Amino acid sequence: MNLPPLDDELEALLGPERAMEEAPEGMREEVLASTLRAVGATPRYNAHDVSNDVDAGANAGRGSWTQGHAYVGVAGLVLGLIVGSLATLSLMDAPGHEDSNSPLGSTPLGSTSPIAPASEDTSSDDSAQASMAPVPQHLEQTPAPEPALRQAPPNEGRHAAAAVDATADAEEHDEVGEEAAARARAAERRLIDAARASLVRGNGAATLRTLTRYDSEFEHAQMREEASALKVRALVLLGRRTEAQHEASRFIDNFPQSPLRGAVEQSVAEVTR
Amino acid sequence: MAGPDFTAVFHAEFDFVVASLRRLGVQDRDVQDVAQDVFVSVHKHFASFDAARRLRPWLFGFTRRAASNYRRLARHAEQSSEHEGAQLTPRQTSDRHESSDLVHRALLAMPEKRRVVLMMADLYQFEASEIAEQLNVPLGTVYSRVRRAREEFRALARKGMQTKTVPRKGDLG
Repeated sequence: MNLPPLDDELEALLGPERAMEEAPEGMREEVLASTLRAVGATPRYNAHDVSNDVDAGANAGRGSWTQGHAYVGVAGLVLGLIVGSLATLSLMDAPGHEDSNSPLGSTPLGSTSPIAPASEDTSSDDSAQASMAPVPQHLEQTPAPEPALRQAPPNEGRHAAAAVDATADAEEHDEVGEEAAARARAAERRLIDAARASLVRGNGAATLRTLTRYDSEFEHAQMREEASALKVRALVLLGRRTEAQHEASRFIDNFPQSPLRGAVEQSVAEVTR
Repeated sequence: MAGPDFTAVFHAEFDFVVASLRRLGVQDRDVQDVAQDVFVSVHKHFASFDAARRLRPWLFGFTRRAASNYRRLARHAEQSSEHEGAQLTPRQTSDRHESSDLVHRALLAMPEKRRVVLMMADLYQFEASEIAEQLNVPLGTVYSRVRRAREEFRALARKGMQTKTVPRKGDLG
């Protein structure tokens, strides 16, 4: 049984609209590419993100991406052990980890994500590797002078040289460590900024996805306070009251003196009215 | 990995999904993001599609749900409401655009239930049984809802033509 046909007046208004279904140029290709990236790997669901099929599906790509970074992270750990005191920070900023298959390049945040472009991190990682290279070479060279040292009696010059070497090692390590720490901080900052940008856009689901990525990527994160506050606001935005309250309680427990506490409490108060 | 069938469907129906999302109140700046969510979800369920049925009603179900999720966000609702009652912009460069703008705003000013049914019935020309199945309502409800939606749309459009302003939700009772 068919619906009654439109009269002339409505047909004149609605008829032309049937043909107006043209997406902006370029959008089709971008969405297809990002969709295929998102669905082309094993999903790793997160309870916060799986609020519906849309979110669950979109997480597929992200799960794979995160696992991939875990492998890169292991490689970074090995390298980090070799260079000694840099281990942890090197691990968290392993080469290329911002680039390949970035979920923020393949998901709803996609083209508007403020995450830095791939080339930036790749180059910085290359330079980091270059700066690390002399360290193992130096360690390998260390045994060579030992026979001569055994033959010659100790003298001040030798001690002075050893002291200089030790100082140089320490300084070199400090410099590389500072670089790695700075990169880690910058990477953290970018993710937090991306989460905040999503929140400002009203995309709470994207905010949560970015924060999930942040949690998994930065074991020793320096901006957990801000991340937790953003998470509360995203949950409030999505109307997930119970989770928002839970996260707010956790925030207050962890950061009782935080300047963000007032904003967090106010956010939760809004959703519980 | 997506097979060729999914890609073919994507290309054939992308414009339909994008246009539908806009008509369902998704802001232009967010359409690309939400469209991706739609197709990710479509891909996930693609194997379960019954080829004996028409594709668009099935696809519209994903589109409607994604738009609904989107609208649940308070901020988007706030911004959508800014559209309603706003002066028609001078962007229209021809009668065609002016009419389209008017129709778009009148649609956005309608309550979701009747807007959806009007889109399904009169823009996409789904059959009543397809609409009933998608909305999970009896056929009689579809008929009454379509009738009321048409009258509401007519009133909004007429008012828009007279004043260049589309009333806010609820102005028509």
